[in-house]
Amino acid sequence: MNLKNILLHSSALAILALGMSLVMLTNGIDLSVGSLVSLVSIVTAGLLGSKFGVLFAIFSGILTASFFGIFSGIIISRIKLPPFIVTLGTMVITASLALVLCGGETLYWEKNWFNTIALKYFFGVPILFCIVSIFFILIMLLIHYTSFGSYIYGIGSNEEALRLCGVKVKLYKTLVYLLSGCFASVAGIMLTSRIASGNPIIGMGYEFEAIAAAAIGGISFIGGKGNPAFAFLSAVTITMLTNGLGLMGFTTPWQYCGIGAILVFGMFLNRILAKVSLPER
Amino acid sequence: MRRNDILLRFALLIILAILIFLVNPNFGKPANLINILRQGALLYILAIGMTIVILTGGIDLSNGAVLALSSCVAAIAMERGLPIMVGIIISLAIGMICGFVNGVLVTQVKIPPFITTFAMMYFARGLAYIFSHGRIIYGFEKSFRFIGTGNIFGIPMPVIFSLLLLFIFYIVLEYTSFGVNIYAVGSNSESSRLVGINVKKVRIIAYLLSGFLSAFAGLIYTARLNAAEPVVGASFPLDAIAAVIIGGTSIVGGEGNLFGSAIGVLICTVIINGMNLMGISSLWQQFVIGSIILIIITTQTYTKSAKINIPILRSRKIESFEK
Amino acid sequence: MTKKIIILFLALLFVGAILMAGGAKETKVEKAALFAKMIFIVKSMDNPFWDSMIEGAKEAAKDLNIEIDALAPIKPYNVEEQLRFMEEGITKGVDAIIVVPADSRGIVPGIEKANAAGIIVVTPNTKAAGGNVVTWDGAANFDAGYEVAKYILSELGGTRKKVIYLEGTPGNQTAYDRKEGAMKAIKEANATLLASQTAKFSRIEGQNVMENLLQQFPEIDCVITGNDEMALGAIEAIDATGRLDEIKVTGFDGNNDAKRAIKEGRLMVTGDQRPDAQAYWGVVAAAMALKGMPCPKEIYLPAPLITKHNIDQYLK
Repeated sequence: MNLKNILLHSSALAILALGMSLVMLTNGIDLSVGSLVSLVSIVTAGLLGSKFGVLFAIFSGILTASFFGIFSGIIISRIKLPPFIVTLGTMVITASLALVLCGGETLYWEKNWFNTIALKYFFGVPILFCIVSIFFILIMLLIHYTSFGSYIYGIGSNEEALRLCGVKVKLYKTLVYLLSGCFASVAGIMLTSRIASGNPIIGMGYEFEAIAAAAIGGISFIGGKGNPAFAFLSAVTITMLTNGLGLMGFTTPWQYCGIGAILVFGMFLNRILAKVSLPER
Repeated sequence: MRRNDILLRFALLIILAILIFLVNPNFGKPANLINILRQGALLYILAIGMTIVILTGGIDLSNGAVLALSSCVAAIAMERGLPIMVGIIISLAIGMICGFVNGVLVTQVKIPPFITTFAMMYFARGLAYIFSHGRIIYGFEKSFRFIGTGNIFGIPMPVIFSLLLLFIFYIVLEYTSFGVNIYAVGSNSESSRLVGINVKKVRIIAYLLSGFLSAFAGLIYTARLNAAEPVVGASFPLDAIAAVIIGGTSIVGGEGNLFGSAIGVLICTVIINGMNLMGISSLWQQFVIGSIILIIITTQTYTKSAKINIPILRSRKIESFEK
Repeated sequence: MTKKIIILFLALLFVGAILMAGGAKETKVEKAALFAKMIFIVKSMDNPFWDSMIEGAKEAAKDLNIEIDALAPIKPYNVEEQLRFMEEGITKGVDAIIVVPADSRGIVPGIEKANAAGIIVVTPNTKAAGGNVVTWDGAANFDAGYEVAKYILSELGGTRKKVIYLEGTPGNQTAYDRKEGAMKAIKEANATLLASQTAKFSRIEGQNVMENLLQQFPEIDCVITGNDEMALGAIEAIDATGRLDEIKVTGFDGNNDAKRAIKEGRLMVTGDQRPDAQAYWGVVAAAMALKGMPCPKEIYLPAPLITKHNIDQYLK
């Protein structure tokens, strides 16, 4: 167990939790991120495999996930369908698309600098975590210093009031889902680089983990309350604890029980702290 | 849940069935239709529990794992030579205990249902592995297997059970005060509390029922397959949620009914059956189900807004599943 | 308040880290006199197959005086989690990593990292597509899938050749290899493939998919499946319609349940993979490589077909 590994292993979950916390702050939820990770993995690896440039492949991956993010966002904000249902729809659709595109087989490409993204360290910090940190800082700036940031909280606590103030609620809601999709694509690209192949099931289960990380980090399910920074921290902590269970010699069945206990305990702690007081942001 | 919502879904089911039938006449064989009912029955029993929980504004991600745990323990009990009835009672008790724990964590400790049941999913799955040592327990007595494989007048037992449960829970939801409370808690828990409904109790009972039904489905599953395994049911929670949503139950609670869920389950089962028959690669199954979810919910919104004032609906959607 | 939460999280982080460091140290102290330290990573825990494999590895470790940690990804067949275990093993400084790749390609970065750290890597059961692996051992899924399909098709004779294939979980290497193997046999025997559908390695799915397919095809001669679980589910479905005499089913893996079904004449054939032997060989190969002894690059273990002719020797 060392810090380098913890950071490396938690990068994907951390960035997904970051995106998820933004969505949850607007009183939404995004179940599609896990499947999007898989889809992006397949798209990027597929393009790399057909000898397209690395940047083009990365860009296409981001574009794919952004498309589905916008798609969910538009349906949620314009047609006013519950986010849970819409993203459940996009979740199963994209999961299926990932499998269809690769035919159930993993995709690969000839080694190039894309592979090394996951291998390099920057002053002892994994490059992947550096990338995640950059996004983290950007999101913190967004939350604290832009009107968009305040609107995210505003949509979560009182959407109607915000709309009456003349804020383009629909636009900002769509943007939040777009961001979540983008973050999913970043996670997907990072994982693809890590496993040096495109895998149609690599993102399975990440959506629930991201939601759990965000919730344990204090993001309220009804929106408007919580700080993405804690979601980020709790993602790192959860990864460390769950990985640690296996390395401490617990067998898989006991690991399952342990994860259950960690989740409940984390949420319990969170509840105790919430009673004391919750930070505004 | 308005009548035309159900009609819309029923129409979709009929259209799907006719389309599949036109492409592949084998679909219409009585044996195949009974197949669909039998395969849907297991999912439907889970969907009843899921509907009740969602009606109270919660969600249950643990039903597949609870199913695995309860059926494994019951199977071990029967393997050790305990009478069948004892095995069944143990299994149902375990299901109810898991549901009760979910309910208590949600209402008393105030952990969001999503996280509670997600944690319970891991916990129950772990216990299922621990009790069964990861092995598959197989070979049960004929009399036990009857509840999964038997027929009465040509109707498979799982179908009879699910119809029976539909009947019982329909009565409970529509004609008892408990049923009214479930809807009330789901649509506005704060005002329910103010009018004197014991919100916590209603919620705990909802999770308890979901646990009970998961265990019940587990028994039928075990009997039907002649085996109990700790790995079963990883996809059941999402399957059940998808069916319930297609059935028109509002994810934020307070709206929906069991007939809708029944149609939702049938739509999902018919799609998978039809795709199997037509030889369409199963990779597309999820795609079709996802599209159906989006299409039907969108259509429903438009048919609603055509008649009813939209702002009323909006005020309802502000609530979420943490209350 | 923000501070309080930060402090709490950090505290949690430290407590966790200390616990883990403590746990790691303890085991080190206890077993200082051991010959070597290895980790053994399987693909998943969703099949008794992996349990048998872990048992085999532990048996070998006991016999050879090796300390071995058996690990499995929490999310079934998740190759990224396997990479995590490998990386943890590398930083922990184990002598050898024995990994059953959940994905032949996805595991390569982990193997390369282990190579760079000078740690021996052995991959039982599933081959890795790159990196420097000391030994692979196992029954090639492709070949074994081929053998099973070939056996049942020749057993059926020349005229009855209507085949259904039940695939494993989409996106799974093993499922893919076995299917390709079976397809080769089907092609060679000039058989007709009526349908090929996934039943996700699961018994209930096998039963459901088979029930549906039985309606579609009035004439089916055999059902070839990617593992025993699906085969046994399919058998329950076929048995319910009373067509088990005409439709022959094949499995794969050689689970106890499947062996009993063969004895009862319900299952025709299964490939006996002997998961414990695969794991044992893996540990032995790693131990030999540690001593600097040469090891064959590939150890092919026979995957004998279990049929009604030889079932008695398997049932003790």
